[in-house]
Amino acid sequence: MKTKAIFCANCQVVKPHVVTLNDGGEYVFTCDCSRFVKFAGTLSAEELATAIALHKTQNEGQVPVAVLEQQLDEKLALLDEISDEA
Amino acid sequence: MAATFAFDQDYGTQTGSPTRGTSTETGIADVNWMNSGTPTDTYSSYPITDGSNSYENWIFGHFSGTYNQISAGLFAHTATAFGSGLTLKGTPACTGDGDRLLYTTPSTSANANLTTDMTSAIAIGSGVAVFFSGTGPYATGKASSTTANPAYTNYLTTQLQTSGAAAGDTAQVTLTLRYNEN
Repeated sequence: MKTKAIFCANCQVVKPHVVTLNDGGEYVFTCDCSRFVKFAGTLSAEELATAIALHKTQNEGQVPVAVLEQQLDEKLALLDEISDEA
Repeated sequence: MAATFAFDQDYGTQTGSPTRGTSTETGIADVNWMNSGTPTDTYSSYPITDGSNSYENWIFGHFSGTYNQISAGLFAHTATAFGSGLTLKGTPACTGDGDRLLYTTPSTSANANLTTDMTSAIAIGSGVAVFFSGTGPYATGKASSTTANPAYTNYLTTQLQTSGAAAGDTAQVTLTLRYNEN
């Protein structure tokens, strides 16, 4: 089984991905979280390396809605630490 | 008074310079990822075989009506998760006029220029920057704000890619374009 460490947009870290070629000849990099990214099978090694690097820079820093909602809930929870005005 | 906004979609063989679609569907209410490049086709008649990709959808924002300026555009998938085996790829961020995608005839090949992973619903603040201009989504001179009327965003292109996806419809997700107008 071929593996390669690339950035996972879901996990937001570089981690090993299983690499396969699909019926269309595309490279499919699959993370253990099940997120995958495809690259054209016609790319040279240099082009593939460039595409992999661009994938990281383009997708780093995404804030999932679930994380944003948790941050908002934590901010609202601060109000529980404040007594009501008399 | 306020701007009038609509999503439009270019499709068909690429034509012109800068390139654009042969046809435009205006005022679209939704966009379907399917094994067809024609937005008026019924998506259930054009299923994507697992392992393959949808045709790209070349949508864009279209502003008219009354306004002074459109600015601060952001585009993202903002609500509802896809099932496993699905990856939504989308247009890269615009940081300059040269970043805007040039229209190509839609196909099912994995589009290497769609570098944004839009699979997860994210906060709109994390969305990709969108630029604007007059004339059309294909036009040069895109900038972070415009006073042109009508005005257009750069192409907000997406493609659904599959690998191990279950049969049936995907969840209905929300794609958001946020902008300021004054």
